[in-house]
Amino acid sequence: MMQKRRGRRKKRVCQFCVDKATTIDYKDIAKLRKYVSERGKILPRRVTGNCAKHQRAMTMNVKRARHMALMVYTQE
Amino acid sequence: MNKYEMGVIVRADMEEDNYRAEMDKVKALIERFGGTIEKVDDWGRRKLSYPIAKQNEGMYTFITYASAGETPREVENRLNLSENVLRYLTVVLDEKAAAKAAAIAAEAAEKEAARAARAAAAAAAAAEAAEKEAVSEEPAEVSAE
Repeated sequence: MMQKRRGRRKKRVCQFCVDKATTIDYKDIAKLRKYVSERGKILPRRVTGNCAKHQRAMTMNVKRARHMALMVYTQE
Repeated sequence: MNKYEMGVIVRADMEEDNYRAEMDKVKALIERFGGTIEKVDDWGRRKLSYPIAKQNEGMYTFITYASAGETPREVENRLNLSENVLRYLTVVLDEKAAAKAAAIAAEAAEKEAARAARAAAAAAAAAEAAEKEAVSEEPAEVSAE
């Protein structure tokens, strides 16, 4: 039964849905940093496990943070 | 009336007094166009993630204000003209979502408190019961000897 799940795929639960008390804010870089790669690219839903609604909100806030030079656009 | 939060990055390579003056100018702008300032969050000097206008540092300030819908545009148009303002960003504050999140957090805290109280009560009851048992066991031990 468990063989169906091959590799190291984790169970996908949207963290923002689990913890309803959290809001997504572009100033909260510590939280947003979890959703970008080392190069500063936004991770896909496939990786983050977010639901569509929260992935959208998170993406928007990462972009806001980039505009305000709180996060990087690209990093070599 | 809407609630807005405006983040402003001002050049960091100038005097403290000039920075204060610059921020006062921004606040005056908001008030001039019918906004009422509610909160000012001054982050101070911060390293920029990437250079803007050859600057590596900036002074960050976040101003929360309530105003009519035209105000942000008017203020932003004027900030565009300022050489000292590197970046700005106005976002509409989602009060409903914030209130909801706060309510959920408060509810969770309440539940947690109730659980803690119940656990404490249970522990106290258990301790009391254990004490009673110990007392009742004593004579039995004596008789066994």
